[in-house]
Amino acid sequence: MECFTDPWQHEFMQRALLAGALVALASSVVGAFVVIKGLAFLTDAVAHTSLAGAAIAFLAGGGSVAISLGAAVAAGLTAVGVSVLTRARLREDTAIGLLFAALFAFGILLISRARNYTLELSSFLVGNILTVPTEDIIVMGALSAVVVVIMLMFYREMLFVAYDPTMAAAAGVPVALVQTGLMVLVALAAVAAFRLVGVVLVMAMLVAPAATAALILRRIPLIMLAGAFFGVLSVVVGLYVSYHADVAAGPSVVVTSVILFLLVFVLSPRGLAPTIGRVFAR
Amino acid sequence: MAPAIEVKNLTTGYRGHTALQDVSFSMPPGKFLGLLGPNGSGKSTLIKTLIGLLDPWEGEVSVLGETPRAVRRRVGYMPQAEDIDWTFPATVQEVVAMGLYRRAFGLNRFRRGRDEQDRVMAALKRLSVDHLADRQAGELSGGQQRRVLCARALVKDPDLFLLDEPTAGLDARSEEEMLDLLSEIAADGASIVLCTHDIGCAYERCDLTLFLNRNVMTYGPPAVTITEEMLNRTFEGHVLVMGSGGSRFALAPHDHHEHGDSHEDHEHAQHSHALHGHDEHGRV
Repeated sequence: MECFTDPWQHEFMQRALLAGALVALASSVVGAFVVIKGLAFLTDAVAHTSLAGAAIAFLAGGGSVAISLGAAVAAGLTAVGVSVLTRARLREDTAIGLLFAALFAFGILLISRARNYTLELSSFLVGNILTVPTEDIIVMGALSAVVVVIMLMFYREMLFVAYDPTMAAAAGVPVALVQTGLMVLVALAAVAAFRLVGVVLVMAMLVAPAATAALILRRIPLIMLAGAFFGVLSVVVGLYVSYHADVAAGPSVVVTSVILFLLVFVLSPRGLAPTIGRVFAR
Repeated sequence: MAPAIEVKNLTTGYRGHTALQDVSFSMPPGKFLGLLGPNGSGKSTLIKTLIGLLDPWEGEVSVLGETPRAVRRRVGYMPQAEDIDWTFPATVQEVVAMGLYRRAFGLNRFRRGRDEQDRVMAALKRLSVDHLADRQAGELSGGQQRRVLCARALVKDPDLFLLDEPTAGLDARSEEEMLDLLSEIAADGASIVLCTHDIGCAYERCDLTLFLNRNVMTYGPPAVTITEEMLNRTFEGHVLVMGSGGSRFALAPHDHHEHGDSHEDHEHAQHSHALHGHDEHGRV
């Protein structure tokens, strides 16, 4: 029993859990649209380009709030940039790839000027959830709140545009604005997640829990709720594993979320195991 | 009463490519108009201009006496079923409720029309798919999906109803039912524009037919406009006109959709359907 309660005696574990839960909430709310509309590559790109903004704030001597703000600005600009480039007749994956590479390289280039380069870089790349300062938790909470509130307010427009942009435009929905807005929400959720699992693994936080939920549910609001559940579960289990096996917390959370996906993928009513079972039963 | 549609010297298209050249016609209210033409003839372009998605490069377009954008709440539009991503998770009710979308600001955003649910169900009932309200739209048959799209256009009781090939891929009975419903709506006083490849249907159902091939080839009652010569000129010789037992039939080849190469699965299914003896036919 102690092995279950013991980790949560530590303040750093409680803080990590709180931060993780906040991130899981924002991630699952946008994650549902990321999974349904195939925005995983965009998600990965905005996470990586946020490094450039974070690096600028870091080198300018800013604290963690400034670093998160810098990251949010860079990620948001990437989202808007992709939206603009795509409308200028560039293929979306090309636009994403160009901005991804350029700004990620620029971010590393900036950090390479720092004195303890590898240490700083690795904390950006794989996260530092166990040493997350209070200000960061506040930033994550604020970002999550912004993401959830905007999604609630504009859910109808988001759904309509995602489902049928032509008809939405005909009904008077500002389609370009809503599409760009969704990308910016993805960027904000990515920034909330990047202190937790690092820029390299942000995509997993946005994709895995929502994808798991989408395996068993077919209503977007339910996918969002169940995604939040799977996200928080991944954080809890991931932190346990990290604590007892003494491994890095961020990757541990991500691996857990993907294992959860695989479990549901194999065992769910329409999953792999029942399908194979049906094939052999014939 | 203002004409349902008034188009004067309309020229428009996409990114420098002219799709419609100097198109003019006027449609009185309460009529059932069949819009005929081969692929790339600009039928969908014309519809997009009428719902305000495309602006005229030259000329003027007025719908129900106003600009297309000013009357969008009174205009129902049913896109081709192939333009919809049916893998998207949305229930039939959710899809139809999109037809009731209206811009709202502040707290009004959360004040759903009290009768929204009732109107959605009434529209579904009118198309006899109310029993499917809670099903995923993507799981339905092609015919049921078209009824759902039709319900979405119908749900706001439009005064002008624009339909882009609503019966493509339907079996004969479903097609009849949908056309009966459209005739009923026209009889109630709404104006209907039906984009179709089905010359026979246009002949039987429509008050007016407009042959389009970048510009207006001919416009008037079907008995006057549907002639062998006009079919040949509009479809550029790709219509086979045959005699059979005193009446004559035109076999129009099923031509490709104007929307490019997306949704190949649906298209493929449709093409093979068309190739196996479901070519549109009509009396001449």
